[in-house]
This record gives sequence, C-alpha cells and structure tokens, in this order.
Amino acid sequence: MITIGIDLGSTAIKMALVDNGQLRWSGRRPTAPGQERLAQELIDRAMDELNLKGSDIEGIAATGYGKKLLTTANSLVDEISANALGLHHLSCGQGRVIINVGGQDLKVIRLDADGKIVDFRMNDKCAAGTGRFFEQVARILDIEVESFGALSDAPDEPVELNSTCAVFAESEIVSLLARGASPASVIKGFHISLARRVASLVGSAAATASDFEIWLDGGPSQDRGFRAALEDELMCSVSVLKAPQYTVAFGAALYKALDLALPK
Amino acid sequence: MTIRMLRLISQHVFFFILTFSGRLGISLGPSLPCLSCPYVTGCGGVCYLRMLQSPMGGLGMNLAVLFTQRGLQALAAFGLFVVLVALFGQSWCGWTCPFGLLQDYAARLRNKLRIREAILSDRAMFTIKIFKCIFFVYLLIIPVLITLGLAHSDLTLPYCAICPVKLIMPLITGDPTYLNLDFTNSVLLTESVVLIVFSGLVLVGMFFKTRFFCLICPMSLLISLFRPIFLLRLIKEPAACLGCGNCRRVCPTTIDKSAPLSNDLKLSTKHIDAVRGFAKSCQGCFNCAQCCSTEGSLGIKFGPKVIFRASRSYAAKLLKRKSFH
Amino acid sequence: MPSNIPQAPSNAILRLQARRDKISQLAANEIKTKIESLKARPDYKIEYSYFLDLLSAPLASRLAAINKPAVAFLCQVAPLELIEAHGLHPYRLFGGHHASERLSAPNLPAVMCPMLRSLLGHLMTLDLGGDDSFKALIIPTMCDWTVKFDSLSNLCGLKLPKVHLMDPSRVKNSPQAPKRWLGETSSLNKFLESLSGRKIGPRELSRAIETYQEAYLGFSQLIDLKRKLRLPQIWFSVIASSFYLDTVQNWTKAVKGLLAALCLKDKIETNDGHNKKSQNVFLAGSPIFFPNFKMLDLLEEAGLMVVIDDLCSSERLLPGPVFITDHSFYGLLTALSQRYHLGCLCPTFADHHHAVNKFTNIFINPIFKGIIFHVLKGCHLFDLKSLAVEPNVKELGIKFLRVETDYAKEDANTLLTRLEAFGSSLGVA
Repeated sequence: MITIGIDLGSTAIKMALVDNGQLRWSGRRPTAPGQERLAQELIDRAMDELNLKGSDIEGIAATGYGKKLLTTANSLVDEISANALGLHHLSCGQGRVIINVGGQDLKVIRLDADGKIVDFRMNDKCAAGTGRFFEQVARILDIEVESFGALSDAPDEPVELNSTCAVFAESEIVSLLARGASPASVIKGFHISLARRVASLVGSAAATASDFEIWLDGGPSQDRGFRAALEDELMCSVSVLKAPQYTVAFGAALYKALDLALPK
Repeated sequence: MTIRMLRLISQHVFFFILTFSGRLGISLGPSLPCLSCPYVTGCGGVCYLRMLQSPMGGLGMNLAVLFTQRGLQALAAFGLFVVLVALFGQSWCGWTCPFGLLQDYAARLRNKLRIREAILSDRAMFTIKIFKCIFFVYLLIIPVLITLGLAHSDLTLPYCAICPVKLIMPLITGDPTYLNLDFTNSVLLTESVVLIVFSGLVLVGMFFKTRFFCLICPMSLLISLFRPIFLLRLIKEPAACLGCGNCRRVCPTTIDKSAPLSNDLKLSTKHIDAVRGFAKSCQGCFNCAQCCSTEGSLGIKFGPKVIFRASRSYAAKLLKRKSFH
Repeated sequence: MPSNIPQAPSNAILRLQARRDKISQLAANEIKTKIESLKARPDYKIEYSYFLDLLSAPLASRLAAINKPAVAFLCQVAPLELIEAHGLHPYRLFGGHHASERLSAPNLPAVMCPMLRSLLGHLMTLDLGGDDSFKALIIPTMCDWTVKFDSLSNLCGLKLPKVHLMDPSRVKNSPQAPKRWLGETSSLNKFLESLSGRKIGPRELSRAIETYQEAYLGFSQLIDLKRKLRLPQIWFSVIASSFYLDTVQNWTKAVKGLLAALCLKDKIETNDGHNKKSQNVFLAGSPIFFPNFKMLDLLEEAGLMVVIDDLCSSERLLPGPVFITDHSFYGLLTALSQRYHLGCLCPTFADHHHAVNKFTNIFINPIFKGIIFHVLKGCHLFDLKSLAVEPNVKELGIKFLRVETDYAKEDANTLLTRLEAFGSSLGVA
C-alpha cells in the first residue's frame, strides 16, 4: 500500500511517500505562495522518480498549517498526532518525549509506550526559540543555518545571550559583534539560550527519562551544537533522527495507511 | 411522586393511626420508636420509652420477673424495637412521629406569618443537647432506684410525667386532663408543675425553631445509639460535593453536610457523620439529599443498595412543585 | 473667564469623538458578522431569533425597552433576585468585542483581563449619564481587576454612575464567611432602597425568587439538552449571553418556546445527532462572552463537542435551585446570599477543593472524555486554578488541555492545531 503524507509548514513543504510502512521517497521545498501547486509538483516529482502511476497512490494525507489548502488530500491530520505517529515508528517505539522545533512553533509531545499522546505543550503566540529564530541569527551573522553545527565545534567561549525573542536578539547580537565577539561564540551563546527556553517547555518530563526516550525533531534539530546544548541543559541524552524534517510528513502518510487498513 | 410527598403522606397517615386508630381497635404495639403517646385516649401504638421506664417491662423490672412470661414479653418488645430502628433508623422521627408533624405545622405557621426562625448558636445547641442526655439518664436511672427502694414510688414513669407530649398531644385531641396541677403530694405536684412549664417552653420553642423538641428528645438519642446497625442511611460522596449549602438550609436541625468546617481538608465530625449515615440529631427526612443539585453528592442507601442519588433534575423537579417555597 | 459660554469643541475632542465612532462601528460590525454567521448555520431555528435580536440591538435601546431602571453589576455573586425585587433590572456588564479593546487599551496596563479591557472600551462608546443607561453599578470585588474597576474606568476617562462595592469573603470555608456575605447582601439591600426609594418585604423578594427559579427551570432543561448533544454550546452561549437583555419573564418564555421546538424535533428525528463517536469535552475556565466566540468556534472546528461547562457566562449563569425553609425576609435573604456565595465556584475563593470536585465528580464523568481549560491572558485566578486542577484530573486518567488566549484571532491556527491534537488523543475520531 502506497500513501503520501504532505506537511505544509510555515517555512517548507515536506513530503513523504510510504510503501508498506517504509519510507520510499522524501522531498521538500520552501513555502511560497501557491502552496497547492508546489505540493502537487512535489508529488509529481516523486511519482516520476519512482515510476509510479496516479492509481498506485492509495491516499494522500495533509498536515501542517496549510493542510486545508491542499484539495487533493483525502485526509487531514493535525501535526501533533502526525508527529507522534511518525516518531513512534521511526524511533522503533522508544520515544517518550518529542521536542519539535518547527518553523514558527515549538512543541513538546509526551507519548506512552504505545505511541499514544499523553500530553503536549506548545509555545504561545511568541515565535521565540523556533526555526524562525535560527534563520534570523543566520541572517545577522551572514552564514548558512547548516553551518551552525560545524561552527559550534570551535573552542570559543559562548557569549551570554539574554534574549530568545527574534526581534530583541537581533540588536543584542549586532552589539555583541560590534564589541568583537566571534560568530562561533555568538552561535554557542544562541544555542544555550535556545536550549534554556526549550528546557522550560519540556519541564519535568526529562528528569526521569533514559536514553533514546527524548527525541529532538524538526529541521533545526540537525544542528549538532543545539543538540549538545540541549543535552547539557536537560542533563540527559537527546536523540535525533537521520532526516528529522520529514517525521511529520512520514507520520501523516502512515496515518493515511493505517486509516485505510482499518475496517470500516 | 417525590420523596417529600411520600414523607408528608406517611407523616399524616401515622399521625392519624397513632393518635386515633386505637378507637377502632388497631394498635401497633408498645415498641414504637416515635413519640406515640399512650396518654392520648385511643392512641394506636405506644412509644417505647414508656416500656423502657415501666417496672413491668423495662429497666426497673425485678430479675425474678425476667424469666417469667412477662419478662419474655419485655425482651420481645425490646427486640422488636431494635428491629424497627435497624430498618428505618432515624427516619422514624421524620416520617412517623406525630409530635414531629405537629412541630412541622408550627414551623409552617411561623413561615405563613413570615417570622424568622431563631438561630441557635453552637453553644446554645450544645447546652440544649446536654438536656437531652439528662432526660435520658433520668429515665434510665429512676426506675432502677425505685426498684431498689431508693426513690419515691410516685416517680414511676419519671420521664412520661414531665414529657410535654403527654400534655400537648391529648390537648390536640381535645383532652385537657394533664393541664391540671396534681396536689396529691409534693412529688406529683412538682412533676405537674415541671410538665406545664416544660410544655409551655416547648410550644414557644417549636414555633421559633423548627423541630425544637427533637433537639432534646430522649427517643432521638435512644435511636441514635443504634446508628451502627441502621439499614436505611444517608450517604455522602465528599468528592462530589460543591459546597453550595442547600442541604444545610433545608435541614430541620441545621446539620451541615456540605462543608468541612476546618480550613484544611480534614473532615469535620459532622461531615464524617454524614458520610457514615446519620448525624446524631438527624431526623431522617432526607430533605438534604433531595435538595442537593450536585450529581451524586448525597444519596440514600438501604442495606447495600443505593435507592436514591441526588441530581440536578431531581432538585429541579422539587423546584417545579414549589416544595420548598 | 466666564465658563457658561459654550465653546466650540477643539480639534482633539473631535478626533477623539471620531475615533469612538469608528470603533463603535467596528464593534457593531463584529456583532453583525457574528449574528449573520449564526443565522447561516444549518442548525439555526426561528426560535433562536429572539435571542439574536436581543444581542444585536444597541444596549441603550435594549435597556430602554425593558421599562425598568437598570442596575448594572459585574459578577453574579450579587443576588439578582434582590435587584429584581426592588423593581430594578439587573444587567451584567461584560465585554465581548475585540474592537472595543483598541479604544481602552492605550490607557490601561499592558497585561490585563481582556474581558474588562473590552468592557471599558465598550463603555467609552456609550452615553453613560443618559436616561437609557444604568442607574448604578454593583461590583462584587471578585478579582484584582474588578476591585480596581473604578480607578481603571477613571483612567479611561469614564464617569461611572453610583458604584457600590461588595466584599466577597474569599475564605469561603470559614464559619464567618456566610455571615459576612449576608452583611454585604444586607447593605446591598440598603443601597437598592436608596436607589428605588422604597423598602421591600418578604413578599416582593419571594416573588422575585420565584421568577428566577422559573427561569432556572427552563435553563436547567437547556442544560439537559446540551448533555444529550441536542443543543450545541454555541447556541447555549447565545441564550445565556442574552439573559440580561430582557425581563426575566420574557426570556423565560422564549426559552420555553425554544424547548418546545427542540423537543418537537426530538419526536420527529429519532437519531438526532446523538453521536457516540463525538469527542465530548468539558469546557472550563475564564468566561466567554458574545460576540467573541473564538474558542467555541475553534472547538467546533476541531470536532469537539462541549457537553458540560463550568463558565460563569454559561452554565453557571444562574446559581441553581434556591430552597427555602425560612420565609421571613431575613430567611429569604440568607438563603439567597448563601446560594450565590457558597455555591459560587469562582477561583477567587481560597478553598479549591469544592471547585476541583466539579471536575473529578465520578457521577458526571462518563459523558465527557477530556477537559479544556480556557484561560484569558491576564486572568491570574483561572490560570492558577488550571494548574491546581490539572494534577487532580490527570490522576483520574482524564485528559486535560489548558488553552491560554485572548480576544485577538491571530493565534487561531495554533489553537486549532492543539485542539485537533487533543481531540485525536481522546480516542477514535
């Protein structure tokens, strides 16, 4: 059974094609006006590359903020459930706490052993500590987000960054740079302040967690410096998937497959 | 049909049976756990307190008599009393007592006149309840003392002699016999003076305070001694209570089942009483359970079976009938 | 300088006036849009139009139509029956417009109860001294915002009519509390006497109580219908919000008409949407007032059905049955004051356990699958209550979601995500 999950997020549209519970194809592109067309192009690309016909696809599930824009989707699923489902499978059922850093939100989802959602928290209206913040810092430092991890390997002492607000942090970083702080130390400071904010949302869930129970998810989780800072802050190990940006899309595809498999 | 309606019917039926049906030759026997006064000519049953005080079948009985037929009859009467109490508990007070109904009418009259009910302070309540204990001890001890020759023999039936029911109930049926002073000797004179004064006080009391006499009634105390074996009981689910105080306001003896009185979450004694069954001065009228509009907070249990649970819809039903307006 | 010569209004005043007019137009549009969307619902019935008409009429004309002097109040721990018995019409002030907030916000603290901010803005657009306005304002000082309402309205340049403050003994558990509240109720009675110019006796009060109990009976039946999923929360809230906008008798009559219509439908359709698969939730927390039904709309959109609520704007609108065994004036007043005070589950009171019981009551549990706790930003009391309730509820295995928001719609998307995820965590969707 082949199903497709599309995650129409605030910064990128992610797609996962799932064949019998296995991820066969994944792809993404930045969000831009005309989301439905962009999503359709992703689907077409996947079918081209995999040599599939339209009739091979048994269902499409959409998730993310733009899910209602996709008229070709025959199921809608909220991203928290999709995330939980996706990570539960990808972590082989080990994940208990998911920390998802999305484009403009921050989610902490707690799961039980069966992958059911026990509890979840999200940031309020403020986008501090989200993917948007990563982009903001990258823009100020004029470097790529992808190079944050490598930069944070440098031995520079982290600066003290007081703000996690994307607006206030900008002036703070600019003045730090003016005072001669190196980009590496700024990035390290940024990782620490972000980790603190995330940790406050995780709360007590981390205190009793063992290895492979806490998973960092979403695009920015590929930044190994951030992960290290978070491990430091939570005082426990944090795991990351190989391609964390596709967890939600994968979960949505899986949701559709399960939905179809269930007797009506 | 609401529980309140059933209770009103029961009260009136029992009032007529216990006050008049003796004239038709119907009698419910000498073991009744309510104030069915034998001084009423043609009464239909006798209050067990009389048996308890009498040298014929109560505490003052000679041990030698105990093993005769009369002794067995006395034991049987006691046994019957215990069974009756175990079955319906303090509901005898609220559902059958003729004097209770009389007091309810006094309260009704007060309400018609829009006169406010007297509020007794906790201290006043305590003092009044001491009287209840004094009467109870008095009616237990005197018969024994008479038998032992330590008390004047005219003190036979010591409590009955001063019980206001003895004066008031016959008066209701048009018989003023006991409104006289008995000058035979000083003991009887004292008793008759006490009776008249006490009755006067109770008449005034029951007008200003609903069921005033029940607060000092030795029968109510006697019944409450059997609380552990009651089959019919009030139940309370503390985890459901919202503390609105409806139960307290409709309680004729102002027992608060709603709130733990202390500021911490420990339950007050009254509260525990309500959880366990009845509080001591409870009349078993179940006004509280009916007027509780919180699902499942108060209820009525008979043996192991819950026969009633408070609910918003039941309270609304009472409201619709203007049962408490 | 002679002060009796009328001066031409300065430009500043004219600009202020223009701003007021603009915002009251926006607020009126907010109501109009909401009413239209309600009328366009597939479950709209002609019997609802009475309530919608009440809500859409301007306040001044509404109060004028009631034909009794209106007395406004803020929280319903003040016995409405007492106001009614004095021949006055009790009118609860509430703020439901998001637009009005813009008028008052510049003068007020940044973090503040959105309901009162909106109310103050709304009052700024009204002619408060006029004959068709309320004669007095009764404020039970339930929270920091209401206790300071007078000075907050000064900040907004409002001239309130006579204000009567009431002190709700917040330690409800103490034996003194009911006595204190009775004292407060008695002084309210004196205040109302001075307003109406006459004393009332037990008969007037008794009649007023009966009028309200009659209203409660209808209201209770509406609650029954809601429990059975026959009356959506949105309509329930519409009916509750309109309670103060007409005489109680008229409102009760309309509710009875509606009940008859809803029960008629009941006979025709045997399977009337009683859906076992629906996600039934318990909605609690800060009140939700017309026309800001953001939360209710989102709940519906997320497929969550509110079968029971604990909002003082909705099911706690009327305090419930008042049973009376002492029919003197004192007895009636005691019963009323206790019913309103002891029965009030507002988080302002120190004892939490009775309020927690409402959530954990095992006898009502089976009908709902989870609790949604709505917290208005700036409402510290409900914020604290949500934290106090959460562990108790979770211990029993009941799902709990706390949603903090205000009147602005900007967070609708993320709220919806949360509500949807909560819905799917409740079980089969």
